[in-house]
Order: sequence, then C-alpha cells, then structure tokens
Amino acid sequence: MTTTARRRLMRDFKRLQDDPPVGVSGAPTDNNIMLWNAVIFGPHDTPFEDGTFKLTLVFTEEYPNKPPTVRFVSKMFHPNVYADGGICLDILQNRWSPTYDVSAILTSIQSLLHDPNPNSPANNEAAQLFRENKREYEKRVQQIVQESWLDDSDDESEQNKNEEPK
Amino acid sequence: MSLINESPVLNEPSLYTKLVPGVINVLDKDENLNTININNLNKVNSVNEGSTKELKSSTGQANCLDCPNSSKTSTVSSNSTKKDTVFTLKKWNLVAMWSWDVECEVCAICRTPLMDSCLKCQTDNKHEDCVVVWGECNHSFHNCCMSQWIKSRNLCPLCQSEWHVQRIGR
Repeated sequence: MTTTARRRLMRDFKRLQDDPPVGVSGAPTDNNIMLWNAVIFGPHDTPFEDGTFKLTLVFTEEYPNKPPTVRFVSKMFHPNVYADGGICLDILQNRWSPTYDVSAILTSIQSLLHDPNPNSPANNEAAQLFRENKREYEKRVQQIVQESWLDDSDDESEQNKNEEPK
Repeated sequence: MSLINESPVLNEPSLYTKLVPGVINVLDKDENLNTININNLNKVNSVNEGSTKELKSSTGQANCLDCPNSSKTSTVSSNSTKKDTVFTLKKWNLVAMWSWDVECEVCAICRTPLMDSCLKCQTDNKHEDCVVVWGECNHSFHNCCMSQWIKSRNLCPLCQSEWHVQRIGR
C-alpha cells in the first residue's frame, strides 16, 4: 500500500542520499519504510566526539503532520535524553513542523549533542553534572562514547559490557 | 565600443563584482574616454584588480579619484587624456540572468512542486482539484497539505506565524 506518509518518506530518503548531511546517516529498514535506523556521529569539539550513536525513528501514517518517535538505541548520557533513549527536543514535540524531514531531525539531534539544554532535563544527573561539574560530565560522556563502539550486535555488546570493569 | 584586451591578468578567474547603478568611464582602443551608463545592469564581471577596488568604493560613478580634472558628474568627459587616468577597465563582461515567469516552488510539506498535485492527490489519482493556498505571511503550500496540518496547529509551517489564508487558487 502506498500512502502519503510512505511516499514522503521515500522523498526524505532520496534527499538524505542526494544531499547527505555531515555526521549523520539513516535508512529505512528492509521491509518497513515506517521504521528507520540512523547513526549520529558525535560532533567534533564536544565530549561526544568519535561516538557512533544509533537511533530508531518510528513514523506513523500521520507523518509529516505528526513527528516520528525518535529514540537512542545506543546508551546515552545527555541532559536531554531519558534513560530509555527517548529524546526531549522541542521540535519532536510541541514545536514540530510538517516541513521537517529525516535529514532535519537527525541534524537537530546532532546539534542537541553540541548544545544541551540543562533547563529542561530528561536526565537529572547529566544536567546537574553539565552545570556544576563539567569534568565529571565529560568523563561520563566519554564512557558512553566508548560503549557506542561496542554495541554492534546485541550479543557482543552484552558480553563486552559484562567484561568491562565498573 | 571595442575595449583593449592585452593584460595577462585577464586570464585569471574573474572577480564577481556587484556594481551600483551609475556611470563609469572606460578608455577605448583609441584612448578616448567613453562613459558607460550602468543604470540597468546588476552584475558585471570585472577583472582588473585596481578597477574593482575603485568600482567598489564608488557611489555610482567610477571616475578617477585622484585627478582634479576628472568629471564627477554623469556627463561624458571626452577631453581627458591618458595621464589623467588612474585605472583602465580592460575587459567588460556582462552577465544576464533569466528565469521563467512562473512559480516552480516545492511544497515544503509534501516536497512536491506546487505546480503538480500534492502527494495525497497523486496517490488518490485526483489531479484536477489540487490547488495552492497562500497565507498572509506569503508562504504557499498545497491546500490539501495545509488543511491536514492546521488540524494539528494553526501555524504556518515555515515561519510559525498564525495561519490566515490570503488566497486559494493556481
């Protein structure tokens, strides 16, 4: 079945391929265009640098009139990311506009890594460290950067996590 | 007018200079000073570095600034000699721009040209009734796309201002 949402997502995918933004990539899953996998590379000059953070985007038939549900699959330590990977970002909630596409969503999340907003925290510990103890914040972020390289396959990542000293 | 073309500098990539409307004076082959009215030109390729500097700093006229005899008005000054000349414009390329006098914008919601039907009408194979809507903010979308969006929020998706329909049509 071809719907408006699916056709729009094909356009999003084409734009992402024709005009790929720096440091992000994304593609629909093989058998479901409503479910996308994406990777955001940690931006330079941030503690997230060199991290490869995986996300999923789940679209509904109401797209682009409703935003997709975007979630980090990789473990994240960021003032605006919930423990379950959910993202607190205004353009994915009350400031959504139907003019956004996958490319815009991914680059917005990338810039959120650059500029966290500690005033609307989704992770209180991260927000507090970001405000009060940058050194510890950066240390904690660097830990999840290293973990981001490990979770290539779920089995492997569990193994590696268990092996890692606390 | 034939212009002298002898400097090796001319083969270098041209500087793209925006000229303000006015008059500039150019020496031709016989070293007569000619005045070019550039009121109707927007963009000019200027290759002589010295001239570029002069043209940029001019307020509409590119006369030689140091010579007392130079004319500051827009009249033709034909009695100037080579001695008076601070710079010579040696090459003169005109660049014209054109575009079709029609809209070929893309609907920011469905990413389909506004000239075509919206994605939904394409899916439903209804090509006749798909019209364009303009808001008071002057942003335009397919009427179908916009009527779906304003069920969520009555804002222009591009400028976030409150959405008021200015007109609907083609």
